[in-house]
Amino acid sequence: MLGSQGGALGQRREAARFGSCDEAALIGRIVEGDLRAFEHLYRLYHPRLTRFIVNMIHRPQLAEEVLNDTLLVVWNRPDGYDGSSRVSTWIFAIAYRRALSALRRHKDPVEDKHAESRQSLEAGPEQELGQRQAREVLMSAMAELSADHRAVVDLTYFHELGYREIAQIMSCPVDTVKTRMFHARRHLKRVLAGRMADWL
Amino acid sequence: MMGRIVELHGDRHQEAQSLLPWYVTGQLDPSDQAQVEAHLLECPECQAELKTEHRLKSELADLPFEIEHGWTRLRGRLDERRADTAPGVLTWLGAARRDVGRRWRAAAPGLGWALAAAQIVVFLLVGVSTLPSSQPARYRTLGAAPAPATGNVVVIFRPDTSEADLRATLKASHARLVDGPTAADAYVLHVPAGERLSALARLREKADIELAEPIDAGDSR
Repeated sequence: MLGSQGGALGQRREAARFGSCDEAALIGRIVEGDLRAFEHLYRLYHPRLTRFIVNMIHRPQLAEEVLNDTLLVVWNRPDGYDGSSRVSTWIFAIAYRRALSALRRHKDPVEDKHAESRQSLEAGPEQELGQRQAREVLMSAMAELSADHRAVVDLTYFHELGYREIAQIMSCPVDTVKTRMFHARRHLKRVLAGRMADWL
Repeated sequence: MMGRIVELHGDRHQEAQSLLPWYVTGQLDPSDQAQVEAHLLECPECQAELKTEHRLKSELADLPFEIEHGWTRLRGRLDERRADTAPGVLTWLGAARRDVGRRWRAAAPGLGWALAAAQIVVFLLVGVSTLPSSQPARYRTLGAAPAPATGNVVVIFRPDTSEADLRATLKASHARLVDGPTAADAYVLHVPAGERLSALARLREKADIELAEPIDAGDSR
């Protein structure tokens, strides 16, 4: 588990180390057809986008397709970046739209549409649950959220984006982002409290 | 169902509650930040909520999901697929580049050589990426053959690299030559498993290295 934490932290550090100005410069080089710049951007975004897409669509077998589609759009239409936002906002917005499109094409059910209206999961015996079990509960609770709710949670907590940037990515009002986050947190906390008496 | 607005105590309380996730991650505007901080001072409920929020953020940010569990297993397959799809991608890229290139040459006629250089890179990448499929597992199976070492890095030297420079680069990276030159003028190297990441970093810094990539996913991280 230490390795996975290192990976998550590593992704965030890598993202922070490479500033938005550098990324804009990369896009400029990609506009000129610089394959090395594109490869650099691919490597820079591969971990972050993979995590975002996998968490959002919960279909690892589709994630590669969405990831490649996203970055091919970046290569094909680098002039679509108009400089009015951060490069990451533009790329994540493409990934979000591609992920939604993939979900529409593959409608096999993986989400629990009734998760929010249901009472919290059955309370287990009041025993100490280890970190691993806590994570399993949390992962299960995340799986019950809709793709949009998972996207907001992931962009907020893992990618540490502000609600305005998330609204740009998801092409929705800021208040919608806040509402989605509110309901997602309520669901996660309800599940955790139901399963783990000592969690909250 | 989950889009339903929930009644809370009041506007300020509700707003503070809705902003807590971004308060915890430090992503609030200064005005929102001040609003939340002022409310926290007078609201025990939000103070308790903040503690929960910190824990939730910590747990969720480090949650492995599939990316560290399932995705690690998938990664090797991804690398292979990327190699398989590269020619198609590059064909498609070529069309895009022709269009960009026309505009670029019109704007800067003297830079045509750079486009030619880019085409060389494309050619090399295609050559390397198609190597495994055109010559099935040529270096991936070396471990099963009576070879002294299995290649775990593929490199392409710049065409004008001298033998002395090549030798010095290999020594500096503790690399041994396993195979090559391939049809794409790539060389397969073996570097000690525990040193591969650092060796790749050193190789990529060398001026005479065109490309340096791991060629198996098993111990690359």
